[in-house]
Amino acid sequence: MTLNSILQISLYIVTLLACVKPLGLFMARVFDGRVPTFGKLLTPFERLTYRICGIDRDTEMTWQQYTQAVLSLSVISFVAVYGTQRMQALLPLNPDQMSSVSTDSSFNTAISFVTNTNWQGYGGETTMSYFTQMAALTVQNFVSAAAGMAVLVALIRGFTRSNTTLIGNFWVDLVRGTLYILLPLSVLLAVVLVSQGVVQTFSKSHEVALLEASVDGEGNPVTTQKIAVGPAASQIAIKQLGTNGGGFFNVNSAHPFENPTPLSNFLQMLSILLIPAALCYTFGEMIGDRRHGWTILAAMSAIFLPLVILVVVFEQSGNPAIAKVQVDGTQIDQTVSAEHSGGNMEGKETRFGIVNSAIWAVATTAASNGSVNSMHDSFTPLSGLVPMWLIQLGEVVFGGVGSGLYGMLVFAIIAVFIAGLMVGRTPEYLGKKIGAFEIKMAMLVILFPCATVLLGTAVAVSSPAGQATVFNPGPHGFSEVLYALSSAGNNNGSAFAGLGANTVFYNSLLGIAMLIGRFWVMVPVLALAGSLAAKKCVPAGAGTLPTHTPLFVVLLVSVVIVVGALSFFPALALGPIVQQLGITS
Amino acid sequence: MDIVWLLIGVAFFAGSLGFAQFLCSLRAED
Repeated sequence: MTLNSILQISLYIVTLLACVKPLGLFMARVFDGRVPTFGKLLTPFERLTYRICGIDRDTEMTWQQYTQAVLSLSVISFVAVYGTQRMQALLPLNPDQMSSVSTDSSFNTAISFVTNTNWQGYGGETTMSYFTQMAALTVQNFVSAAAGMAVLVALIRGFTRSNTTLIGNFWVDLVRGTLYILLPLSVLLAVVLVSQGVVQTFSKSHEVALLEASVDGEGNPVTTQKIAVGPAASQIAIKQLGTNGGGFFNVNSAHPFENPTPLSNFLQMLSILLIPAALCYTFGEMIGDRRHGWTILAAMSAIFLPLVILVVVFEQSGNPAIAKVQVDGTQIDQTVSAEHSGGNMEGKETRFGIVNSAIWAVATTAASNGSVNSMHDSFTPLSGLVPMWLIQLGEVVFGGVGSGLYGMLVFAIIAVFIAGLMVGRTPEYLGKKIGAFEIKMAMLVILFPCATVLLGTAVAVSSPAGQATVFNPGPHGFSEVLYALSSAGNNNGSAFAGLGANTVFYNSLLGIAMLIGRFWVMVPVLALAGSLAAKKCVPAGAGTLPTHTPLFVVLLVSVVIVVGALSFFPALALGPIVQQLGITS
Repeated sequence: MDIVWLLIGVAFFAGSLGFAQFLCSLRAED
């Protein structure tokens, strides 16, 4: 670790933590219906939305009604995004005359954006019109993120309420999350990104002369290049804030028009974890005991920070395979010096370097963001293992907006259950007795993504259609497939490049994995919320396990890591671990 | 072909509603 690395990581963490309280408090007030003064400018729009959509904001829902509302919004969104892609050639704002998207890719992309995954089997600038990017994909960036927050708020109400079947109104939570939180932050960030050089235009792509003429694969001269532009800044802002991650351009935030400067890079990295981290404070505020919110944030940070350091160290150490190569009898120098960054710079942007690539890689996979500013496929095997494992933990270390925290709260329930087993007492969390039904729901939340990832990977690597587009043989190819299924099954969206995923096989398999990873987790979480809300609150007694102490942080972290390690270690051993052993032996 | 892909997606959401009903029955058993 260089001093530069330590300073950059510290700056990132300190800035993030400084934002947690003000934003967390603001969000708690928004979801409690006590919108702060400076947000009241938007209240007329909230009322107008309710009037147009016929929403009675005073009518609350049972968990079944809440689930129906989530699913009905999602199915309508799926059909709309699918239809927009299929009719793209007929729709406006298509200056580069993109043809309509293929059926299987439309299916995959529609699911991807509705589930907040933003896995992209396509290249944005060569596939999607501006209309599709804005009216279909960006809208889903807002809606899917707000839906995640709404489900979290419903679960929190489950903890705070007693003897009721009602957990809030999904439509009200959705509108408030979008209008007061996601929209203002996105507008602000988009304007700042434009100031840094992120493009925002309806102009068609520019054809420019090459400085040096070239030839294509068939020997024909190539003298010009198309420079794609478009309304990128507005999409990138919500892509980061909503932990969506889908890039306007194919190489995502490694593209100079999507992430041009170190400042734009820092702000985007900050935006990835901003809302998930602040929601921990929101949770503490809404349950009336902020210590619990800080406890959850401490547990997340306790996993996140060491993994950032690990990736920086692994990448800064260089590539063991390159260390064996000699050029003109001299070993390649991979040590950091005043003249070069050293380490493994393959697949990284020189304007970001190793540290900012490492922080981004860990942040984007800790959160279910999935955007990239470097190619994870080019990381050394053990560095590549870290983002993959973070995804496999279930996207609970910060995680997606809303979905990360409700996932972590499920792990908290498992943690108190295990502690209860050890001392022989009925487990309690936040004054609610945890019974058989709650544990069953928690198990489903954990098992569905795990089973989807492992079974999906097994199907892919054992079928000819799955093997056909694995371009790197051996353990690295296995890692690419495992990463793809992990990303889809846990709604992350990032990819190890190198796997040809835009095929009917992978578009179908990953599409189904994304649906299961999103909705078959959400439904048990809402059932949990309903069950908890119906229970009475019991005051903490002498035998109650305190869930706001450092001991509980250790217990929670242990549970998350043990579940993740037990579920995925064998698969990881076949991929990155055996690859690392192969190149170092 | 469009109808096939759309049906797969819609069927999943319908199945998810059924899954929610199944969880309701689990709750009732408890």
